[in-house]
Amino acid sequence: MISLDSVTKKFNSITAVDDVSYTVAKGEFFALLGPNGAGKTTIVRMLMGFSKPTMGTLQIDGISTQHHYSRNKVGYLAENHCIPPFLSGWEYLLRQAYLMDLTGKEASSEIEALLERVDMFKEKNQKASTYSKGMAQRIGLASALMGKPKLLILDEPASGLDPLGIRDFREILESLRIDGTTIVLNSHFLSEVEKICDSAAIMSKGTILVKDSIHKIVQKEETLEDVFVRLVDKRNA
Amino acid sequence: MPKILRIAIFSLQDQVRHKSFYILLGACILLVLLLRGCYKGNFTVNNQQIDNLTIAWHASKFAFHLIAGGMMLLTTLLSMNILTRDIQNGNMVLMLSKPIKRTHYLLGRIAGVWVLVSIFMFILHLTIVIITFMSTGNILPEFFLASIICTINLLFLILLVSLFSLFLPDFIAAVTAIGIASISFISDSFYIAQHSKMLQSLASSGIENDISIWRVLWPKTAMLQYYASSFIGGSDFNPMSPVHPLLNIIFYILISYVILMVIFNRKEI
Repeated sequence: MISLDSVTKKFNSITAVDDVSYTVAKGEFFALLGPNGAGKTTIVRMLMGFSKPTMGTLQIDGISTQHHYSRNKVGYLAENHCIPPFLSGWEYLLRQAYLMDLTGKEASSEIEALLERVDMFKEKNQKASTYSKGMAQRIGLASALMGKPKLLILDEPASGLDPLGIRDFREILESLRIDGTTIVLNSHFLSEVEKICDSAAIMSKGTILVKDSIHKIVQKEETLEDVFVRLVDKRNA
Repeated sequence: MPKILRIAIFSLQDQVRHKSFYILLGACILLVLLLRGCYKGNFTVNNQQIDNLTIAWHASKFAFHLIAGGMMLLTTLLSMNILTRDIQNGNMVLMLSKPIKRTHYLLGRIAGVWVLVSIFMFILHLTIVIITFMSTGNILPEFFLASIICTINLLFLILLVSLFSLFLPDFIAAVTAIGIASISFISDSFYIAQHSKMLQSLASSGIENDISIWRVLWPKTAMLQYYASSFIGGSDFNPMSPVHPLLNIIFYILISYVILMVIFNRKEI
């Protein structure tokens, strides 16, 4: 579903991503982990076509991410999801629907279902300026799920969510995994990742330290957090 | 519906959503209505009473230039933050995370603002046509053609400000674009005045016809406006250069558009 081939991204003299290669299979629930500045968000931005790699190629379903069509069946939730403050949640999702050529009853019924799913139906007509960060994230998740995407790219989706929100979020992701959606999750919530993801890559300073299935990365009597701290500390030493 | 059209509609909706837009439109119409007084005066030149139609014709031309020039100023202010505001409020990510080409997004955004300012200008020009009709009983249909020609200037300014805003802070981008248009107004107006019949009859030693090359090549926003106004009452038009101002501005529109697209396609969002 996703392939990165020798991807390097430099910002002037700073190398944010250094010769990274990996693939994510269809239906895989993949987590991208790493400390701040590891290069996770840069990879996500390159996957979405917001940024171009200095070297290497990124593909979604065999299409270069530089081509707009690669985002045809991709849902995306940004780390700090912004909604234009003058739009209500409903209007925002309606715009998304129009951009995906969903109109009329088809759009309305899908938006209603999504708002119910993210528990924002009651607040659908409130202006986004009145939303808390967690509410904006929920609307953002609804927008990412619009059009039943085959690939979901989530950049720090749980930021701003309260514990109940995180639980709801996990349930939604688990149901999507059952449906066969490929999910790329960029997160700091290691305990959540350990619970729900199939595989993960741990990054530090632009390189991948390990990429494997969760049960292979986490050894006996260890948690994902232990592995993460051990690998990142070793890299920084 | 094509995605460019959808995005253009979103742009229109975003602009007309603000109350300040209606306040501005209302204030402009009110300002234009104040010009009614100019249509009703008794003017005497060389002991000859000027007839109502001549007065109306001159007043309409003055109003036409005032509106077209004012709209250029308003256009730069409205378009100075098309892109930066979209980045800040998440609109750009909203649209570009979908399978939409960057060029389509940009075209949609520009088209939306262009349609909006063109309608705005059209309403103000229509107000003048109505005032003229009420004062003289005459309709000036050529006003509409002149107004349409002036919208080309507005498109040029939207592209120019959008292009500058990729490198410069929004306000500086707007001021730079206004500066370019202002230089055209000074240079072209000076030329028009120099070649007016009145000045030529007054000048004893003839008019200097040598024009610097930069004045010929400069974006001829003002000259295009003079060309448009020449349709009103069928007055003469004397372009500065062999290249028609319409072609000059279209050339600059194409250049600005190409540079804007190339830079925006490479931009990190």
